Amino acid sequence: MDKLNITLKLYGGLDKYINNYVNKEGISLKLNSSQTIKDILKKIEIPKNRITLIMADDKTINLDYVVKDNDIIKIFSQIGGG
Amino acid sequence: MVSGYFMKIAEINLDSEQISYLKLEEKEVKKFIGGSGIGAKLLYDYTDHKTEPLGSENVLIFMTGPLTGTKAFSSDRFEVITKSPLTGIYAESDCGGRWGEGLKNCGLDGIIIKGKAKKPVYITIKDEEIKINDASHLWGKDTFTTDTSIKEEMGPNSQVVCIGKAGENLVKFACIINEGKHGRAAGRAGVGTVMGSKNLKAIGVLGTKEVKIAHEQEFNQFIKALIPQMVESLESLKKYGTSGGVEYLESVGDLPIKNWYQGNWEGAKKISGQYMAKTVLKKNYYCGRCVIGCGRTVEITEGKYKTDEGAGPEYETIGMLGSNCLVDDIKIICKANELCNRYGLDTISTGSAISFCMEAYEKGLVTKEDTGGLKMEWGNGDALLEMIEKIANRQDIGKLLGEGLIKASKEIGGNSCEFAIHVKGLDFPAHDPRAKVSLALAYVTSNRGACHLQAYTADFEDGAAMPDLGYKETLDRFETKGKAKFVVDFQHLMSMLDSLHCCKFVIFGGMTVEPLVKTLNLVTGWDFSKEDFLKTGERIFNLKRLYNVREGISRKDDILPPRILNHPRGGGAGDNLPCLNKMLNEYYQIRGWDEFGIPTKETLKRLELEEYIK
Repeated sequence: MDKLNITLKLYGGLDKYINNYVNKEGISLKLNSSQTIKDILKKIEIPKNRITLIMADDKTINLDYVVKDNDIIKIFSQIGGG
Repeated sequence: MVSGYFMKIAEINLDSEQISYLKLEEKEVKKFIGGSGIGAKLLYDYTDHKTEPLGSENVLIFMTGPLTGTKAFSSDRFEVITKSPLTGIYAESDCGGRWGEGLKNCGLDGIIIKGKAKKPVYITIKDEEIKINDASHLWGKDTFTTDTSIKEEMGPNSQVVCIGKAGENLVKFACIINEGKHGRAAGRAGVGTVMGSKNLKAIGVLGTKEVKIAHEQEFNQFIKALIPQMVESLESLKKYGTSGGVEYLESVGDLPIKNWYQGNWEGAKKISGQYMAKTVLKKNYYCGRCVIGCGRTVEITEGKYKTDEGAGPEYETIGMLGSNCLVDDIKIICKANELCNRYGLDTISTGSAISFCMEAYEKGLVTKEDTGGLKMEWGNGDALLEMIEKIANRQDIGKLLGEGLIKASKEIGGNSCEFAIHVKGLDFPAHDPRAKVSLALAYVTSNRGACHLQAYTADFEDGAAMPDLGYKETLDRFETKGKAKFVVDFQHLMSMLDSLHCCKFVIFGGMTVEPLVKTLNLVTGWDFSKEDFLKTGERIFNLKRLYNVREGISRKDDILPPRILNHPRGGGAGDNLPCLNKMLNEYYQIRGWDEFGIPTKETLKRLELEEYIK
């Protein structure tokens, strides 16, 4: 299986869970094998209860989504509540 | 003339039907900016501790800011400032929609309504022409119908603010609605009640004047460059609205459950923004000039809880009319939201009144006789909907509930004061100081009573950071240390947002302190530093406190209800209780207020508020 490259972009304060996160650029991940968002989050330790929205290429996805090469995955935490 | 402003406020006297104009001075606008900054100054001058909130002597002030009507996104907003009939003290209420820019297009920065009309009237403003019109055909109509009717008369580009039957019937937490069925509300503290007490049904505006910008080209480029980040980082708000936070906030013990008693609740996932998106949501809604689009548009096409297509519930409504009453049916909450919007009722205070009533009913302090036969049991959504009607129409115990928690608990008696959850008479919004301790300070020091928006620290205590205020990392939400300064700093920023007048959500999308200062300078031609900007916010915050001090407010009133101080709710807040007294001591010290919470002479001199020294 070829390695996969994906970009992870985090919003709503989630960037604090990643060292060396650069705002607006996100982080690049090289994955050895195909995996789901759930699998990726096991290694990255973003608390799941904080996540309110996940998108791949601007479409809403869930934790079972299997990432593809060159995906841009956006993960949001909800902030902004009246 | 200062760019960003028309330097002009219309004073409309409903007793004499005379219209006069206040000229603003540059020195004054530099000190108080606009929105509730200038609003507070005007309220201080026009009213005092003898003014009856529902008497003809009270004034109802509508005020925009220098950014309103410009390309600065999310600045099409207005503030309503008055003396509150619910709390008896300073009231301000902020509203989006499109009326703010509509007023500015008439060449006015604000209007002041004085006196009381002999019969129901509505005001129309078309550029320079201000008319007071007979409203007998509108009185008694709901806010959606009123909005449509005046738009038919003035044209589809006109904008309308109006009250519904709740304001006419003087329910003490009646609100003012803009954009009719889209339900943008100046919700809190009974600003709609004051409007009703003046026999004023609505104000329609339609104008052609444009706001002058000092450095127009640079301003246009600057604002344009900020938009992509704003849109990208707030995608979650666009998709799910503030309602998207319901499940997370339940998990951390912030969402109110069962009149602030319970720690966690399974029902939250059935009434969240994510659930709405799969069921009742039709699309999102944008206020004027906004690029975020956090509003919800819903429709329930059939069945008992059928609604028209229009505004759907947001976080506060879901918390107060849903989880706080243990109602877990999103259709019922949508219907409740529509009813409150049509009647012109604050959804926060209405939800609070009903959850309070449910607890009183459970404890036998309120019976079916009092409720007109309604079984006000926890989770009884049908009874909740009928009680909204009773509150709006002042029937049965709905009449007493419509007086607010202080009067209601006093009359209901027993130990109901123990579970009347408010500060200074204003019901808590749907965030819990036991889950985020800065809210303890925010609620007791907010100038209109329990309000998280005057500080807006909740998200920065658990998630977000604000580096240009010195908060590079998020804080620990249970930690007491450092919270006093944290609340003080944020209150200055929020005072400015309420004056500029900009939606607070922009700070989550990259429009933080430094970009806001630059935007203000580009519009007005001024040269504010970050320190000037925040000091202006401090001045404005202190002026509002002075208004309340003159009303007799002091430390004895800066307190939380017993349940919040004493009862650990469990769930995500565990056994945490806020250490209010320690934080408040430190807060007063940092603010330069004395032990009773009164700003000292030195503080007033430093803030150039010498004329307010007694």
